Amino acid sequence: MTALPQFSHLRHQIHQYTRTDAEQALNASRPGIHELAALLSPAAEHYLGEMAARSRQLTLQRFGRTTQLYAPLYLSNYCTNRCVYCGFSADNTIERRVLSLEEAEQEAEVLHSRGFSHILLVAGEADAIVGVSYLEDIARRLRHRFAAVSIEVQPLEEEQYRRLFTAGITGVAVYQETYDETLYDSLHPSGKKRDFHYRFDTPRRAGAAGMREVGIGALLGLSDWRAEGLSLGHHLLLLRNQFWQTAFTVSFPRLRPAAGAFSPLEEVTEKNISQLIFALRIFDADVGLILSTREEPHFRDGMLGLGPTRYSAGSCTAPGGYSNPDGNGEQFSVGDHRSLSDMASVIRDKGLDPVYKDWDSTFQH
Amino acid sequence: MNVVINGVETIISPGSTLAAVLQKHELPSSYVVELNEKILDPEEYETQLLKEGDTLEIIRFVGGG
Amino acid sequence: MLTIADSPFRSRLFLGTGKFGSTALLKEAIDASGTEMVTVALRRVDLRDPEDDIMTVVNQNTLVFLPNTSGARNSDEAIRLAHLARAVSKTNWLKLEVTPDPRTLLPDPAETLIATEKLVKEGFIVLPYINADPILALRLQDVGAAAVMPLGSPIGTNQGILTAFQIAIIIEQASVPVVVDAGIGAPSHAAQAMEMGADAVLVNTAIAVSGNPAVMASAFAQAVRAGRSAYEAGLGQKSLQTRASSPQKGSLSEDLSFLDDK
Repeated sequence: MTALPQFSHLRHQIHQYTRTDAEQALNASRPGIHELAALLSPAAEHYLGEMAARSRQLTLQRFGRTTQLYAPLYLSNYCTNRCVYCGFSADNTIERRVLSLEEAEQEAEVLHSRGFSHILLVAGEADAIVGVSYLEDIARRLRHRFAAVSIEVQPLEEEQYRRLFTAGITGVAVYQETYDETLYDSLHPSGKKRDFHYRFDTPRRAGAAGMREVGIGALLGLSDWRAEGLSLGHHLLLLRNQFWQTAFTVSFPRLRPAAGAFSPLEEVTEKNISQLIFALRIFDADVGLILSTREEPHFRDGMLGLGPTRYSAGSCTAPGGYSNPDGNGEQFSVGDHRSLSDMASVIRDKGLDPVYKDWDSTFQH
Repeated sequence: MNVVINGVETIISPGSTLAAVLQKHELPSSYVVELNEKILDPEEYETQLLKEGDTLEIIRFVGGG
Repeated sequence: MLTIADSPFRSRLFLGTGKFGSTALLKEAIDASGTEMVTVALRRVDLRDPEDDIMTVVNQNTLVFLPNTSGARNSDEAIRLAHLARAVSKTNWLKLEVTPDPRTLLPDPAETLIATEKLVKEGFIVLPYINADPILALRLQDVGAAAVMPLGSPIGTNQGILTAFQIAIIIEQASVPVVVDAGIGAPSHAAQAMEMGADAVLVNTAIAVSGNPAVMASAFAQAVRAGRSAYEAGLGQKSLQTRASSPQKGSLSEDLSFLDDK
């Protein structure tokens, strides 16, 4: 049983707010879920510039003049799910590959030599191909070369997350894709991913297992993005209440062209994502906000300092793509192809300090 | 024989029960008795015999913040 | 409606019963305050000198008794006092006070955490008195404290909410009620605590030593209600800049022309 309000109620709620509500929310001394809803409303768009200013101020106060950098490392694009929107869907004919331990280390070495200290291991959801033992082995090999190794793979059991934590994984990211349960069912016709509640419960299991960082998110473009934002706020509250020692992040993957030629069901513009980011920052001053290379340079650059705290850079979304850049089998098309050093320069030009690590794995117990 | 009641050495007759000793004093409406750091049930007062060197604490509620 | 350990309280003002000039004055203050929970302490009966028995003016039919472990300097002493308290009150409520320094009467965080964990396991409803330490508050919740009682300033100092910054964090993070206790010297302090979002306040010295305890108690009750109402109505954000009360676009705004409309 999900402890989340019904998606249709949230959607309805958000559209009731007026400009006055939005202004009050913007000025609230302790914004709560009610203020988040008001700031996500169409009426709040009128105050987007002011929301950005408040978001900038809160981000600066809490995170300083820094932006963290990381790179995704795709281990495998095998997947047992058939998510209609994803390039890795089992229904798509793409070159499938899973990296051997040596190949994964090689990819990691490329990232390490480029200067990355925080990597995100990504895999399609296929237990038999990328299981816990495999991830444990990889974690042990990589943990001493990177300050933080996170994973974005199939939802696992709490005990499995504990094993991975011991092996050196520090963070887990898992996106609900959509909090609209009705739509969710139609988008995930087969595989373990069919189970909406199990997936929703995954961040809790990761937190309970002791992960330092847990990331949530929704794939923007599936259902009403405003209600997704409000659902994210509710989910964040629930998790923070249970796990005060855990750091949380929210990501904003936006549907882009993929191998299966799936078009977004709802339009989500850059203006929309920016409103979502500013609203969440005002709602939660401490949550990490992540922008990936799905987005284009002009947007990523413009958002620096306004709310996001972590960027990926120089990303390749196909397994083995760092060692062999011409491989196929991408999960999505990258919007920003700039290298880590280019990205770091841009960040510095904005008066921010690019941060490669804020933790050292050797401290982890 | 000697026993200590609320920090004060007191002489009582040998073979006294706790109830008998308590009856000799003016006590508040509610209190608790500790014998040698063990809290006693009021039902035990009649049957509990005291011996030489026993320490009694009689505690009650007073005003406090 | 405030709920602590499944018990409802209509009044968010709790009263300490120490330092009153007489039990008669105490009774008047309790009545005037509208409180539903009072703290009491444990002391030896003075066998040579029968004194005012507060039990003649407070009874458990109308008030929840919250015995405190005042005098305890470590967890062992506190636990012993807890057992004594339970034997007298015949309830599980306990205000845990472990204060090894008699000058400041500041609470010992380590011993408080140890005692809370043990007493919760024994079925006590533990309300620990602590310095306004947000991490300690979270740890106490983790081990089952029914509420947390962070101090505004040290006992008896009447300095008000010197710890406002930390108390705000505690309130934000708390999953149990937060009762601000100690140092509340004036009704305005109590109102401040309630405006911040505290669930209740505990007041003793300010009422007991005032020239007219009953009137002071009533003033505190009003302040607590006012502060709580203000909190529930939602207070505006403090601003260093003038903001007109009528809606208008603010002056602090970012340039968002980089945003693509796709």
